[in-house]
Amino acid sequence: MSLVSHSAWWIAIVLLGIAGAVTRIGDPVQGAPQTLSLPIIDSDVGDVTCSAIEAQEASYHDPGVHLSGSWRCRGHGSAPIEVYLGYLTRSAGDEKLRSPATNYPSGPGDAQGQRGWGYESKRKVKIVLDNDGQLKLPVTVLLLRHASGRRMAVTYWYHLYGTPLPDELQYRLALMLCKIMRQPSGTAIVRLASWVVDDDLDAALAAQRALATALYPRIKSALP
Amino acid sequence: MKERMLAAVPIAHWRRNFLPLAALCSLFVFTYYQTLQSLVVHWWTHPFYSHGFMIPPLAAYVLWTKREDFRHCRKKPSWAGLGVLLVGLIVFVVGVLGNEEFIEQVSLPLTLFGLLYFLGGSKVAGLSWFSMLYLYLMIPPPLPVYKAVSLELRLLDAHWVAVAARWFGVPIFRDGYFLYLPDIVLEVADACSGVFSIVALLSLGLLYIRKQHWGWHRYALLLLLVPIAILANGIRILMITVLTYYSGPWILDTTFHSFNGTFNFLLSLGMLIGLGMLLRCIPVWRSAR
Repeated sequence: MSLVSHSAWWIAIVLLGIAGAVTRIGDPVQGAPQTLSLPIIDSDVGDVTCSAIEAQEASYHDPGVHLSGSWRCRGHGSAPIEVYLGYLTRSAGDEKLRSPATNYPSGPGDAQGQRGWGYESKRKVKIVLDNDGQLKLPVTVLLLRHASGRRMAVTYWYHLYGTPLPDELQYRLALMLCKIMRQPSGTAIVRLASWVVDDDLDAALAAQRALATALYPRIKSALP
Repeated sequence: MKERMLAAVPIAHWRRNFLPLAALCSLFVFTYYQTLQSLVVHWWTHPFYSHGFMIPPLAAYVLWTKREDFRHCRKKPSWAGLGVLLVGLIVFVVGVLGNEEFIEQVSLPLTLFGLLYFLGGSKVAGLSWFSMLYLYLMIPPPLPVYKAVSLELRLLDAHWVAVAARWFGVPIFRDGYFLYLPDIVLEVADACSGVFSIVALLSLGLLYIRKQHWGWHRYALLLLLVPIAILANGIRILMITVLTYYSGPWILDTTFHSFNGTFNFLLSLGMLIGLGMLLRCIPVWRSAR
């Protein structure tokens, strides 16, 4: 079947019109952010003791989140781990959780903010949560490096309606699907970070793995 | 009389198509308004992507150079073109509904190409594919992709600069993307990775190669575009490292360091043109045009 030039023009006009109209339909989940209290991390999480820290004391911030909390957890013989939990009640437009691979720590006296940081390596790993090895938590392990030479190990994952997502790509794809299906798009990020002491990266990561294993069930039950 | 009739045909053709053309252009702007706006904002606010402003005019220029071919080629709507247009629009709708700016932007050249292919047919598509593909150079990569590529380039640059600096008598130790000199530590930072110099060189280099070279010369230069940009960036970092060692850290505050993108671009463009001139010395089979 051959197309007549005249009809082709009108088909193109109609298709462009439909695309333009469809993309201007409002976001049904927009509106006032729903209220949610962040899960309170108890003083004892597994073998470590945690205490909440004030936002200005915390080294990591995601300015876009609607709710956030930071805790400092200390175990036996390992460096303290800073836990950050940020929650975005809805994602619209550019409102998305920042990736710890591109959003770096900044201290209270750091006027420049986040300068001197970069990451050396980034890989996805699965943390086994039970003895059978059936339950696994997919996370990203990041090794940050400051210009001063100090290294920081970071373990993070995203949480979208009961599903843990290890990295930005999966988070953004899942979020995109949520938006297309017109489902609520509240997402959380959990970030565990500690300095690497005596170049012992394995020890830092093992401590973070243990804490993530203990924290995950609490976070899962507290978040939607 | 005959001349007047011939002249009247394009005018009549133009008048007949004016309304649908105007409607199509208006709808295209209406549909892609926010995407175009996001691109312009990015070019304006991100100094490393300011070359985005020159991509659409250059793509239009390439089309304009083929105006005679467009005028004389056979135009016939194509079902395959309709398929491309539909794919472009579906990608666009997915990008907008999913709030993914990058996917929206990626759909723009595809939709435009789909429109040309659909309305003009395969001959028009054949004449316009390069310009449409070229438009992809105006789209900024997503931040995680940029960071990942940047990291690899930083490590590569730091590695070979550490090797080459020793040839100039500089005692140097490399750890990741940090270069340790006796009195100072240099960081091959994100801005020094040369990612945007590669894109900038691709933007002008592609046009240069397309216009000036034929046959295997063209393919050889195309393959060498990215390595040339990486090499030029490495040379710049090496120069800064050697100068910092011999004359002090003041070199880091000079315009030579801060205008790294411009320097890189000019150096890599010079290397590309130089290599092109060298290749000219080797004969190439060229079809009769």
